Formats: sequence, structure tokens, C-alpha cells
Amino acid sequence: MTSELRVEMFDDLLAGSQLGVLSGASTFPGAFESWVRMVLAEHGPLQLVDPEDVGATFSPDAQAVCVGMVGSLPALYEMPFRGDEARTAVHDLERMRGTTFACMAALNAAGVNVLIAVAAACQLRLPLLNCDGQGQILPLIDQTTYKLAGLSPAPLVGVGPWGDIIAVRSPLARAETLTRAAVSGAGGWLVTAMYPALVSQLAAAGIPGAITRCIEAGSTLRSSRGQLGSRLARQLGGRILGRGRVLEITQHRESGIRTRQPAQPLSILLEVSGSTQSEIRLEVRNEVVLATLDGAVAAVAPDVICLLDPLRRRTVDLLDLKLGDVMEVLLLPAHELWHTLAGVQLAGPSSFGLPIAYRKPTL
Amino acid sequence: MSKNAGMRGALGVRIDDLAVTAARLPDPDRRCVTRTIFPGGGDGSHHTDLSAMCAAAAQALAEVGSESPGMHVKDVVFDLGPALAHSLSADSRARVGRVTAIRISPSPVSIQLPFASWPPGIRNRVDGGFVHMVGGTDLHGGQPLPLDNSALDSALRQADEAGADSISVAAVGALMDPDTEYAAAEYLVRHAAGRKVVLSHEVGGLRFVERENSAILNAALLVPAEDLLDKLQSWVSRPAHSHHSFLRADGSRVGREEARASPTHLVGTEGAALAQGAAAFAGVDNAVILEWEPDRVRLLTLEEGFLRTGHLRHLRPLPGVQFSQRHAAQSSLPGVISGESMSGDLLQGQHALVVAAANFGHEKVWSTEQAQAFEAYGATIRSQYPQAHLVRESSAVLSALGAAVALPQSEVIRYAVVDGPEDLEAKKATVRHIAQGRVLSAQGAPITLRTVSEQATPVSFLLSGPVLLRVQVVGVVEERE
Repeated sequence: MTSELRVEMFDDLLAGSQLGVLSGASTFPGAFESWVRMVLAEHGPLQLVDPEDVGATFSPDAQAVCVGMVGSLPALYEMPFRGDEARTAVHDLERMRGTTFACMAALNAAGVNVLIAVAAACQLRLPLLNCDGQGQILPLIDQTTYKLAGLSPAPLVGVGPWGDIIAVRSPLARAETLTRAAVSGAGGWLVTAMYPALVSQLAAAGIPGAITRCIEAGSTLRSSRGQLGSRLARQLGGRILGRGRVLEITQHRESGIRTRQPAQPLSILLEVSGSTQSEIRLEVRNEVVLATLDGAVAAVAPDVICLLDPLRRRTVDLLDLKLGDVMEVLLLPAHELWHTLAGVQLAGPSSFGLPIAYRKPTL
Repeated sequence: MSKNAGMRGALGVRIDDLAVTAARLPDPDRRCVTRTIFPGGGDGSHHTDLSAMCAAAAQALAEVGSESPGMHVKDVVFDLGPALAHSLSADSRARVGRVTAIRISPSPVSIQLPFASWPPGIRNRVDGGFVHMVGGTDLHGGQPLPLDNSALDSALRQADEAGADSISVAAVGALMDPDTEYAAAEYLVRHAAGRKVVLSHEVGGLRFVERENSAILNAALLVPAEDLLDKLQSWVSRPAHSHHSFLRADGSRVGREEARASPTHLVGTEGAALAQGAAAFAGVDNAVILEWEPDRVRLLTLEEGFLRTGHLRHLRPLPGVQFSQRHAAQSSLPGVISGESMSGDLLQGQHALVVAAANFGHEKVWSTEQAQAFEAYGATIRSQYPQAHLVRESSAVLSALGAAVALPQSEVIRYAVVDGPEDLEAKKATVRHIAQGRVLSAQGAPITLRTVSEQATPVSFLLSGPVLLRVQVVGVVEERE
């Protein structure tokens, strides 16, 4: 089914994009978010094409491209966006490949990347596929279901805050390594056009309904009713792992397997409400990747571990988190593509350096 | 009231465009002495004659003081937020400063240029043009391009042509390395005699565009703030009031010179003043405060006498403009919050629940219907959370009390690339010293400095090790005879 993203839905989209995002949170609608809203108001409504409608909407040889930011959200907020980065990246990738893209897709429908995808699709006047490559926020550009389906992020083009344009062709699948190195030199972020592929290939490889699910979750987050965690768990097929008060937030050195993750490890310890004995420990590698209850694994990546603030009825930004805060820990199951052996290898515990086996959660 | 013990004898004075309200903290008998004066005659009309407002402040102070025999008034804390905010409103005839903005960033093209998001009414009064300079520091600490000072000459010419009162300077990465802004300021001060220069890293926080807006607003408010502070000083100069300080939007107080230099921090005090006042009235230092309005509730948190704070915000007189400046963090929750949702663990054990109405007794908006709705809301909360404090007191009086209990505090935020634990400690110490200096300048009375938080949070998704340093220092007032 083809649907539309209208500017009236923007606040829901923004709120929903924050679910499961901790360290890259953009909970305040600032200048960047206002700009995306303005672009949607000027060029919208944006056509959202469900993956099952791709065959009826596009010719078989139509090409699509993903956009997303690689790098750091604080850097993006500090190094102001020009507004033409995604357009430049997409046009340069078109020139590199000698093709024209017929539609766009989001790298992920979480955090800032869904906003970048929406703005880019509006500016380029292209429809946006109602799917994404992660179904959550994962740090690496090759931790995607697109990659699981055999697609490559390269060739890709990234545009940085100083106007640098970086093109990567990588026959030996080193796109993530090269792009990550380029992010540092570029100043902290690159808006990147990647995963050029047939529309049908991207649509088949993506997680369907990701954009609309984000909007629906945002609507729940913004509603005035209480019991936020329970309602989100029911709506998204997850469960509450527990609720507790923050006792410790500590940085530590990586103790597990060496990884490619661009993260400085962090632990958050919660004292479970109503009990003086139980503790929830959260391991953070940019986002929460492991939750243990009294030492036993309660949830682990690629399943999504979200923090909610039940008092203020919102998602949590790591920079705002304080000792003493009461948090609700919500587990949302990853898409079934992530529960395959290949999915677990790519985005499971070992990819974050955690020396534990993945076990599908009990919901 | 342990943290407020040193504040006994403090007076709070709230000056808005309608009235002046002075209040003294409740004495041990729970008696709260207050006085409200309407310079415009109490007919609800706006009054913009600052001299008359300051004269009313002096009168209100004298009358409250005379009703407090035997209690020496140690200091006065003024809440100038509503009066300054009014100078930004569309119908205000108050003069605000014209500002030439200098942006130092990688590109002249941007999703938001200086002044572009400002409402036309205030933009026409403030916009003195802007000049772009290529430069800045990225979050790895690098400065890819040298500064070209010829652009500063363009800014000076622009300021002359626009008749600008002041110049704001905002550089990308100034929270990592402020030297770019200092270098620009040094040049401007040497070549632009008489024009004040505002640096973004000194008034604002995270996010470049929002911090730049704070710097511009601060530069614009220098004129009305100076006018107000001068008049106040000439009218309210009783020697008995040993020290004057000023409420900031984060609920803290600053001294006169800091208030003159950073008036943007004095705007938007409503939430903080009411929350602190309601908690003081209820006699609690740890509280969740619900500020009730007919269609929503604002939730604030007081922890050990200090409001929880945030950095990014909107200001009511400037819709559509986002600022980065410290203020009391407020969650605006639509609809009714029930006492059940404030269950014990959310109130964190020692936290009280305090409910106050945002416009209680306001001459223009408080109605019988609102009073009934507030009582019904309070009754609902009480039925589910019997320990809740329902404060039935004029919001203007509570706000003045909220100013009176303001404590000196400062939070400084900086980015840093750190090279090992020793370097991290050294950089933390630098930030701590800046915060301590700001606290010491805020309070006339002897205080003990206490560092309440000192965090170094890694910046996500970057491998080169930049951290966000955040140091909060408070001043605990020592008891005086």
C-alpha cells in the first residue's frame, strides 16, 4: 500500500525515532529538526511505498539508494548542516554509476537517520520506501539487513561538514572501515548515499513498515495517557524487563572481544524498584546492547533495549540521565531477519565484544 | 529547608509588566509577608515605564521590610525575567539592542542563518546583519582552516551601517576550543570602540545554531537589561539591603555584573521561580513540582534545593527560535497526571509532591472556573497521594519566594579531546575553576563551594576520544549573625 507522510505527522515521526536511542538521542526539536519539518512542509507530502507495492510502482530496472549519517550526532549539531549534503551525495553517486535513482530508502528509521532520509527524499522529489535496513539503530553501515541479503554499502559517497566529498569503491568489502576513517578526517560526520541497488532488491532486503511503525510508536509516546512502557510493549510485541533507580553510570575499558565498534563502553546499574536485592545492569556501546538481571542475561543485541522515563513520559537521552532517576527498561524483539544465524553473527553479542551466546528472548 | 537555612531574611522581588511583588520567606510560624503594587493602577494594563516599576519595587521592599521587625534583610533577589521578556514582545516599545552577528563556521550556506528563524516583529528591531567567516574547530579538536581577519573588518563596517549596539560571535566548536571566539573578540574590541561583544561559548551551551541564537539574544538584551539594572540601582539602594542578586532561568542567582553581561540567562524564569517558591512554601528541598494549567501540567524536579536543569529551550516571546542556555528542565505533559502515576519509586523515596497553579490569582486570567478545576485536580491527586502538598497561593507571590530562595550555582560545559586520565583530570579542573569563579561572583555572603557533579561523557560514534565535560558547582550559604 502506498501512503503519505504529511507534515502533521512529523512530531510523531520525531518522537518515534527516539525509541531505542540512548546516546544519539535528539529529544529536543532544535534547528535541525525544524529544518526537516520545513522541508517536509514545503515539498511534502512524501510518498511512502510499501515493499510489496514496489513491483507495481517501479519498472524492474529502477534503481534505489539509501541515505544516512555516518558519525556522531553531537558533531552534527555542532557543525551546522548546509542542507544540500544528501542531495550532493546522491547526485555524485548517480554520476559515479551513470544511473538515475527512482526512489530512496532509509539506512535506519531510528534517530537522526530517518529525518535525513525524509528530508533527502523531499528535496530530491523521490518516493521513500517504507522499510529500513536495521529496524533500530546499529552503529556500523554494514550491520544491515541489506548486507544480510548480499548488498554492499559501496560504492558510496559521503559529504562532510567542511564540504569534503568522499567516494568509496571497495571491491573487498572494506566500506565500513574506510568510511569510519574518513568520518574522523571529515570533522565528525558524513551524510552518505550508499547501498545503490535495484528498488526491488532494497525493498526485499529491508525491514518492511519501518517508517510507519516509527510514526505509530511516536504517536503513543506523545499521547497523554500513562503506562507508557506497557502500552509500547503491547503495541510493538515486547515486554518490560524491569523498572529501577539509576545507581551508577560508569565508563570502563572493553573487556571482551576486540570489535570494530566506534564506542567507548559504559555501564548503567539500576536498583530494581520494590526490591533491595535485584539489580539490572545495562551495557552501552553507543546504545544499550545488553541487559542483565542479577547477573543473568535478560536481553542482548540484536534485540532492542529501550529506556523510558515513566515520570516525564519520554525516551531517555544519555546526556540527561542522572543518578537517582527511575527508568523503565523495555525489550523490543529485533526483526526476524536478525534472529537468523547470519543476523546474530552480524549484529549479535559478539559484534559488540560481548562474550556471550545469543538466545532469542522470551516475550 | 536545610539548604535554604542560610537564606532566612532573604527577600524576593518579581518585576513584570503588570505589577511588582515582594515576598519574604515564611518565618517559623509559617507567616509569609508579601506586598504587590500595580504601578499602572491595577486595571490589568501593561506598564512599561521602568522608573515607575523600579519605584514600585523600592516601595514594596520597604513595606515588606517594615512588616518584618527584628528580621534583618540580608539580601534581595530580583526576578527580572518577565520584565525583560516583555521587552521582546511584539507590542513592546522598549528598546532592544541591534546586533551584528558574526558566524565562524565551515560554510556560508546553512539550514539556518542568523536571524532567519526570528519572528519579524523582533527581528526588525534586532537584526544588524551578519557576516560569515570560514573557520571553526571540529569535534576532534582540529582547525582545518586559518581565520581570515578581513571578514572582521566587514563585520565592523556592517555594524556601522546598521547602527548596531553590539556584536555577537559564534564559532563552530567553541565549546572545544574558545580561542577562535577570543581572537575575534580581541580584534573587534580593539577596532570597535564602545560596542560590546558577546561570545557564544560564554552564554550558551550545546548545539551551534541554538548557541548562536543565545549569543544574539544576549547581545540584544544588553540594552534593556542595563537600563533596568541602572534604574533599579538608583531606586533600590537602601543600605540595609547588603546585597542584590538576580534570578536566572535555572533557578540560581547571579550578581549584578554577571546579570549585566548575560541578561539572556535572566529571561524565562517563570517555571523555575514558581517551582522553587512552591517548594519553599511547602517547606521541602526534594520535590516533584506540578505546575497546573487548565490544559496541561508542567513537571519540574527539585533535588537537594536545586532544580534539575536542561540546556535547549524555546522562549515564549520568540516562537520558532531555539536557544541553548541553562534553564529549569520542564516536562510539559498534556492532560491530567494522576497521583497514581507518581508512585513511590518515581518520587524517589525522599521526594515530596507539590502542586501549584501557574496563574493562581493572576488579575487577568484566573477565574472561578479555573479555581474549581484546580481544586478538583488537587483533590484527585490527594485522594491517590495523600502526602501531596497543594499550594493555594498567588503565583506572583510564589515566584517572588522562588527568587528569594535562589542559591548561587554554575554549570559549565565543554568538549575536550583527552589524552589519558591525567589529561582528563587537568581538563576537568579547568572547567571546575570556571564554574567556581562564576559561583563566587554570584553571592555577597560567605559561601562554601561544593562540586555536585563532574561528568565526562564520551561523544558517541567517534573514535578519537572527545568527551563532553560537565561540571556543576553550587555555593552553600554560610549562616551569618
